[in-house]
Amino acid sequence: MKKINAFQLYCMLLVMIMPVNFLIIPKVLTSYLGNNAWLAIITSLVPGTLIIYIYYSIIKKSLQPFPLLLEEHLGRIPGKTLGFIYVFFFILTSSFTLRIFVEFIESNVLPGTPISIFIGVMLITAFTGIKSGLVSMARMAELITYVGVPFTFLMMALTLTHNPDFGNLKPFAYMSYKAFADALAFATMPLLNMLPVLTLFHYFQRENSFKPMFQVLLSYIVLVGLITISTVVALGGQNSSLFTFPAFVAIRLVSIGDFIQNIDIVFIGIWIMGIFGVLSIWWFMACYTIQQVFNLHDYRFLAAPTALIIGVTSILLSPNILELNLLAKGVLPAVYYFFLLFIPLVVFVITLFKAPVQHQPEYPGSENPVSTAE
Amino acid sequence: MKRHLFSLLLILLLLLAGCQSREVNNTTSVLGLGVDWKSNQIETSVQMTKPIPPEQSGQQTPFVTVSTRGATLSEAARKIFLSIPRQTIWAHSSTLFLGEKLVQRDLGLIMDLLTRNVEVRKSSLVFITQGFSTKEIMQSQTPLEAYSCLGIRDLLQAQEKQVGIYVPMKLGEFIYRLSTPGIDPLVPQVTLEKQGDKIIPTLKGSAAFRGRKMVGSLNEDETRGYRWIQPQTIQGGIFIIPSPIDPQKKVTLELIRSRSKTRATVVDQKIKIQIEIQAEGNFYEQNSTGAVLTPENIKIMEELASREISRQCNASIARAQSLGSDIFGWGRQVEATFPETWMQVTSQWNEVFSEVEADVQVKFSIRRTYLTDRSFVFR
Repeated sequence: MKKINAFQLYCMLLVMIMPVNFLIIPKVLTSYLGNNAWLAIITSLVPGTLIIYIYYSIIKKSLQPFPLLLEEHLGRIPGKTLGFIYVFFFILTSSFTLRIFVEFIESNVLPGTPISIFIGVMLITAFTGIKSGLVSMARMAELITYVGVPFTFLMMALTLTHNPDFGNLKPFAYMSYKAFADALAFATMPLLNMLPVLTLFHYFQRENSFKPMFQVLLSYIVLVGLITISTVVALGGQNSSLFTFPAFVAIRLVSIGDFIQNIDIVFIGIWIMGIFGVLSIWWFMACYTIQQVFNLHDYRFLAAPTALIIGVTSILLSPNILELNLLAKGVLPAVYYFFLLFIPLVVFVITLFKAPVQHQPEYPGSENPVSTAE
Repeated sequence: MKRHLFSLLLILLLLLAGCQSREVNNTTSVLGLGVDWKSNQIETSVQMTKPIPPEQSGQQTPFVTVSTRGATLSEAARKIFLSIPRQTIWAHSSTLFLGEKLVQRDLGLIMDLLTRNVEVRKSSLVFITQGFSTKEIMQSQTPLEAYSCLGIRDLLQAQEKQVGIYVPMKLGEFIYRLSTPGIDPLVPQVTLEKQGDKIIPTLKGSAAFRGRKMVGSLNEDETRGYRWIQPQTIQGGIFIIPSPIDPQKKVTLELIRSRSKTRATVVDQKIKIQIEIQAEGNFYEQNSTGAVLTPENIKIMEELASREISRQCNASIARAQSLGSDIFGWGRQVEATFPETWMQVTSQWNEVFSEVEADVQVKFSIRRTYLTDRSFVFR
């Protein structure tokens, strides 16, 4: 049942991290640190490695995938209860991803279009992704990575063609400790999105899972770090925090020789692919967790009813973009840290007293996620 | 089954014209936006392309300029649709004219919308009008270019290479300078001048800002100085120095490229700015006879050129300091290098800036002399 290879796992985890944070991170970090925003991303290497180690240790000492490993390590009742709560968390993450997509498109690309259309279109495509199975999603993540990563580098390079002022990166490290700590916490948060690896490892050689995760961490630091630097260089530290999506504004400034311009629409197309990937995987996690918690025979049929919940929740999350930003900066980090770090940390501490296990690929239900509708 | 579904999707695809579908016949492209202050209201002018049947081309101007007024910029801009029966496409809008009266009053009246609005391209070039309203500038006609907005834009870009006076200011940079402490914008100004029987737009001076207001103008000479000091490679343009063999005569030099480095130092709580300019150029013309092109004279001309560049820079600095407008971004320099000092002076930076001592060092090198390597000799 080892149907996901190392590169696909890398791609899936990278897709989980990059698209949303590509837009959000430069904004939030520049609001904390101004021109030194990139320092927080580079420093996230340390907490990021610890997070990966926690996930990796849990994988090494677990027989079953997430959420069943909660029952395995915490006991049946607490594990099931937590698994049930995680369903709501995954629905929240799916809804937030969808809402960010809607807000971005509505504000920058097609203002005036009813948001129900964006929500509907994205839910239909992600629904199709879930219905076609985990292997299809892995292939999709590969495609997104092949297109998205080179394009991110290209965007960064093009952004620097607009009157780059590297002086904007100075003064170096002139910041308060509190602002840096806040920024570091925020810069580390996207790395917690690697939690689905606790499920995906079941369909992958667990012995090798550390390497793809670490590669994702390095990719995150390089890609988001560079795009933050190029945004600050192009727009300035203070100016970057003024815009809702500064990286996008920097891309809109690209103009080469008066004939290569208005290329933001290319970015939008590729970014939508990425959002589709994130949404599909969070949504898959929601459906898969429901299946495992309630001992259902399949998870795919759950995509339809949860689609409605995700769609409605994404609208109910906040009445406007200001509150959404407050939610993203103030409330969601606490929620994310609780579910993606604190609980895994508890499991990790418990597993410290356990011996590593042998991989058991034939766990009941493991066929479902990887089989495809050929 | 799958094949049928795929075919159905393909057919449905044809019906997807998008949420913002619009017929080309019902649209018009906006080429430039002008914002001014008139009768205690914001006046917005928009230049749009006008479709002309082929048989009538050349008989009428291919654009229309519509002006409307309102209490806010968005109200004034939206009122345009009360008189224009077409949807506007803003993707081609590449110029933004701001009226002198408006920018002398308060940029706070308009900057929020210009920053926030997705239709306003941040790569648009910004101009400040001088002596005329934005409407008058936009309604004028430029020689050789059918659309005045595009003509003025091209004028600015062409002069940079040929004359080398004005530095284009894009809206993105304008926003950056207005929102970042320690740097103020300097924006090219455009006016109308009579040439023969025609009135044509021309570039004249640069508008200097302090905070939210325009506080004065720099003339051509001072603007040249600003261009030299810019912390980026500049290319093209000419300048004139006295002839080394007859100071009454002139020699024209052409700039190949120039790069400046600005460094802030703080000695005894006193801020000092050091500017180093390295430039190279070609001998372009002498308006006299005599053997100017000798190795000795080349050295003299390099020295004269360095002095001339230095003079222009100092003129620019003196003017900016008299206006209290930090167009060179020295405040940013101080912040970048001496953040502690910056924290002390940031609140009264404009006053401090006016007192900052600047030292300009220029090194100009002459490289080539084009087709002849001797001065012209009459028989």
